[in-house]
Amino acid sequence: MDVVNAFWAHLSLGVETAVTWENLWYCFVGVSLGCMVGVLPGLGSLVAISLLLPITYHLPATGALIMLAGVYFGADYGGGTCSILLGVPGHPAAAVDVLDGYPMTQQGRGGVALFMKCIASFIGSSVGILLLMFMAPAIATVALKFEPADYCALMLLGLVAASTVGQGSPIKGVGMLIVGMLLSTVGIDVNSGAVRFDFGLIELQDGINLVAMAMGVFAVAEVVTGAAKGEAARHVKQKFGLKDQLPTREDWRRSVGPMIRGSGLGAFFGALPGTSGGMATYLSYAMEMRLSKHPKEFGKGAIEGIAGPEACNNAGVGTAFIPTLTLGLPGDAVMALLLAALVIQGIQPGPEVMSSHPDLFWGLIVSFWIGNLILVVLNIPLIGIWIRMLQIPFKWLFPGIVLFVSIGVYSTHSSVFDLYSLVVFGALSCAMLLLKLEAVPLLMGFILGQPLEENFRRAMLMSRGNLSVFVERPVSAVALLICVSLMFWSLRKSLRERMM
Amino acid sequence: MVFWKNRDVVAGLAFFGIGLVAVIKAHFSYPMGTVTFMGPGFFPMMLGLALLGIGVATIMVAVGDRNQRWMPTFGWRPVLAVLGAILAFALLIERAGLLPATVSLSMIVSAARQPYSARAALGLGLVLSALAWLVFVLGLKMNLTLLAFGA
Repeated sequence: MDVVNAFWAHLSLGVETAVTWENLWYCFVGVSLGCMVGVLPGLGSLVAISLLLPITYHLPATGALIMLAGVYFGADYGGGTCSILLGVPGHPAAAVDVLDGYPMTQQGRGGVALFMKCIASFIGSSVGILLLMFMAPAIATVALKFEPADYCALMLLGLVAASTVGQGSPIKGVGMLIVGMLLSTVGIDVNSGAVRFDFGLIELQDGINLVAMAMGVFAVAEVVTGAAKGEAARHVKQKFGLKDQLPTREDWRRSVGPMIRGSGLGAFFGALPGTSGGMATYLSYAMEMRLSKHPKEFGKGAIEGIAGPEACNNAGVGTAFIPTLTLGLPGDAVMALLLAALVIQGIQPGPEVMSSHPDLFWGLIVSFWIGNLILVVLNIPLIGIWIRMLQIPFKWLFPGIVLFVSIGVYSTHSSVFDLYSLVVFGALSCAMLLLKLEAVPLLMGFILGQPLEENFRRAMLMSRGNLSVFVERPVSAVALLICVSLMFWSLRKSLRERMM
Repeated sequence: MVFWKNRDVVAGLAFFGIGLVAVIKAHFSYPMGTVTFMGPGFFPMMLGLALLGIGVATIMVAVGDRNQRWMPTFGWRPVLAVLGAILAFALLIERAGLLPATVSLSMIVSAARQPYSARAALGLGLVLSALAWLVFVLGLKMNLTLLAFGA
């Protein structure tokens, strides 16, 4: 019964923290802004979080994290709205919603698709959040016994997984990862006090500004590619009153199974590193198609094709927080950015967070739930607002985005130098588009480079320079083994495609 | 064989170049230390060496690839407009203030798309300035001046 008692204690502490006017407001603002950015085609949760990261610099730690998590949920959700209504994925992870959501819109059932997506996403996230609440304390307890060598190996695993699985070329992915880590060494080295790679610039002694880098490689690249494209037709003719959204009894009956299966699948994959970006949602889609009694309807507006993947995606969002919050090990770039936000607030991520800042930890988790409730409210009765958002022409929108990026970067330290860094990273991101290099491993290497170096140094100090510590400790040995096989497997796959 | 148009060859060269800078800088400027007591140069040296290897591997794979992957043709207009607009904003925000910085940002960035209308861009710049002032100065209490003279 201990687990249940602890669960209620955590829940009530979380509710106490999250349900204050201030934090409810941050949650509401985060979710709405996230929805606003996410619903725009091409702009996903990564861009949304980068855009809004500077605003949270001046907020209290709990409020900042609650707001950013809200942005994440909102943006993730908004992307699906765009997919269903326009047939253009709001961001890659929402691409699966196009398959059946857009046909439903064409048949005049777009409202039903949106409604079911909302319900499925709420159920999926609830499953993810519940799992997070039950599993986090147990994992943190185990993690307290981890040594630097274990952290080192686990971080390496997360980084390698994120830069090889589902990306273009695994070699180039690892290359970008290392470039990111090299960028993280710029500035004062905490162990020796030496200033590294400052190239004579005083401003670089504090290191590279994360916000300038994230905005440069994600937002600038999106705006440039968006501006290069023509104006897409964005007319949504349907009405979306409450009556147009209510699913029939048949719709409900067909959606329950997919939602449950999707939640399970998503919860499992979400906790693994490198599996974000919609891989699990496609699995869920394929599974529903296989299990369905009418597989021919898939791709032509089958409601299961919305309910399953959407529940899957949101369950994964919840469980992705498990390694991030309990171990300080983010599985993808969004989690890495949230982790960086934690560091900016002066909180060292890791298993101690739960005991040293319990109010932040549980408040944040409860706010996930509140955020998802707000999403339901924002998206069923107020769907009209987002549809209107979608219809703003891009030529008016992108100057606004560029301005927002510029003011945001400048505001973090009131420094013009950060704006010059933004220009440099913007140029870099365009070069990366040309060479087809990925930004996600670059950012993850940059964020995890410092903790990786620190843990590596500490591990070597503790073992007196004996590298065999990495194979002697079981956790690190298993992590490294998976890491090596992952690299081997993805390398072989990519070489086969290219050479034969 | 036009190597420098193959995107993977260029990417490999870039990796190799960055790795080389890291190795040289780490070797000459920062103490290496020992494995037990690592100096500030140790980690960058490891990364640099790894990147040299990745660079060579990328080029080798690109050369052995059965179809060459060329660089896409790229529109320079949006790139220059967006980066130029941010640069103008950076130059003006402290010297001239939020209003001139925002208006020039809008006038430059709008050139990313054709047809370009200076009047529309100016109007948008004024609207954006008002919005930015409302959101960032009034709402978020940021320390930005609307118009600064000779500062």
